[in-house]
Amino acid sequence: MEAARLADLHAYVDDCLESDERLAFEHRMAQDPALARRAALWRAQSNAIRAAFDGEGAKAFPISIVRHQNETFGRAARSGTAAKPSGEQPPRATLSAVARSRRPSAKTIASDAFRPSLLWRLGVATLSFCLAWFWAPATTVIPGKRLGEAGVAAFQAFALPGAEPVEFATSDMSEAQAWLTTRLARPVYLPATPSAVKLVGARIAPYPGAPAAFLVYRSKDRTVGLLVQSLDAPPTTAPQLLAADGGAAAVWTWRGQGLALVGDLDAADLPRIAADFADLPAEAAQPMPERGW
Amino acid sequence: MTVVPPLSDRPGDLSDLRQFGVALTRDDRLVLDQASATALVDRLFRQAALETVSPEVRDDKDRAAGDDARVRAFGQFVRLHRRHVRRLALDDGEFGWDENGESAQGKASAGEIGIAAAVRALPLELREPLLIVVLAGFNHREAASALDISLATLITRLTKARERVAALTRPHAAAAPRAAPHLRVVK
Repeated sequence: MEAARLADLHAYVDDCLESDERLAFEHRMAQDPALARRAALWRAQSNAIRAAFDGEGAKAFPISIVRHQNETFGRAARSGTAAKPSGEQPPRATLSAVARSRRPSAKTIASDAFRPSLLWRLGVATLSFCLAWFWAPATTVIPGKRLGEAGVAAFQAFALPGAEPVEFATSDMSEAQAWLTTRLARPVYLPATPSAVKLVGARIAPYPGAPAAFLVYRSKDRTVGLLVQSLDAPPTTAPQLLAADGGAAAVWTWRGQGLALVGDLDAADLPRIAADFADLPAEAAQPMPERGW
Repeated sequence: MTVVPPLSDRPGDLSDLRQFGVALTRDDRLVLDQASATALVDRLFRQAALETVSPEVRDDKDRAAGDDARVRAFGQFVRLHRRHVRRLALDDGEFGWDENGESAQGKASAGEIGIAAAVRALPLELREPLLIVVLAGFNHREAASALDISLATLITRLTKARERVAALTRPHAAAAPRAAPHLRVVK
């Protein structure tokens, strides 16, 4: 692939093109399926990288806690690597292994004398537990943005024209539900299919932490995707339209799951179809699969 | 304009830089775990003394100045990290060690590994452009400026990085077929 075309492809994947350049490139992709496949692959890869490293910044430890261990730990691990024969995979060092390898110095022994007693530690632990108990949030936080972004990413990666959008093709909702429950090894509950759309099939989609269920529907001549992920007992909520990752998603919760409806539809159609999904009575849905499968 | 610790008046940038830093510094060779990566990022933050801009953005000129400061902040972090990696290599007596060398996992044949592991397995020169564009959301011109490389080099490295991650995360089915199992007669 020539350099200019490659640069355009990267610029398209990384959203660095102006709107007219973007349209021109999409026109080129329509004529070149290999280019479109590569763009979809790289875009899905970027979304997966963002999801994999999501929250790294917030997971920071206080420097005073880990700095000393880090310096000792890293050096011990590296010296272990250097000592091993080149073909052998070095064992991953642990903090306890590093601690065992260090001989106590006079300074360490002196500081040990001032270590807090077991009783003090127990008191602090009890106090922390009580604070955590009383200050625990009363309601589950619903990751609406994350659901929407995962739904848009799955739709862009799997529901593009020409790609095979589903792993399990079926128009029967109960079959799709049983297949997803088996594949994900946890109960998956699907809302009954509204009359405006027709089920095409199901597949597994990436989601931070655990894979999610992704269903593909057809609405007239358009494709619609529904991402379903189990959450920690959220209350049932009505669909809400969110902007996610350059697209739009209607996100709601139902039966302990988060659902995100995405598709290449008009802005007015997405909430309408989401409302159809959410408004159907629970009796219309198939019976709940047994827990414990 | 005052000199203060890195971007302390722009929490969004600080969070982005920390996320980028932790992802960049962790690899399969020098920084093996999350806690070590976080501590290293904190140490590099302390070493940095970055120029910051006022949080109030009044017009396009202010916004451009803010973007420029962001590029400089990330660029400074990348330079400090490269220096740290070189120093570690020298301390360990690896005089010939190249900071761009692949980790053990990167040299391994293509097989199915997680996306984070695949990124960690990339050499530093490929990990930097991929993460600054994908995680930090820099456009290509800004990324090339922050990494102190040309735009053409950035595109070349991005291509290599994306293709290598795709190869490492491809399922086993796509890899070379294994030898067929066979039965052996045991007397």
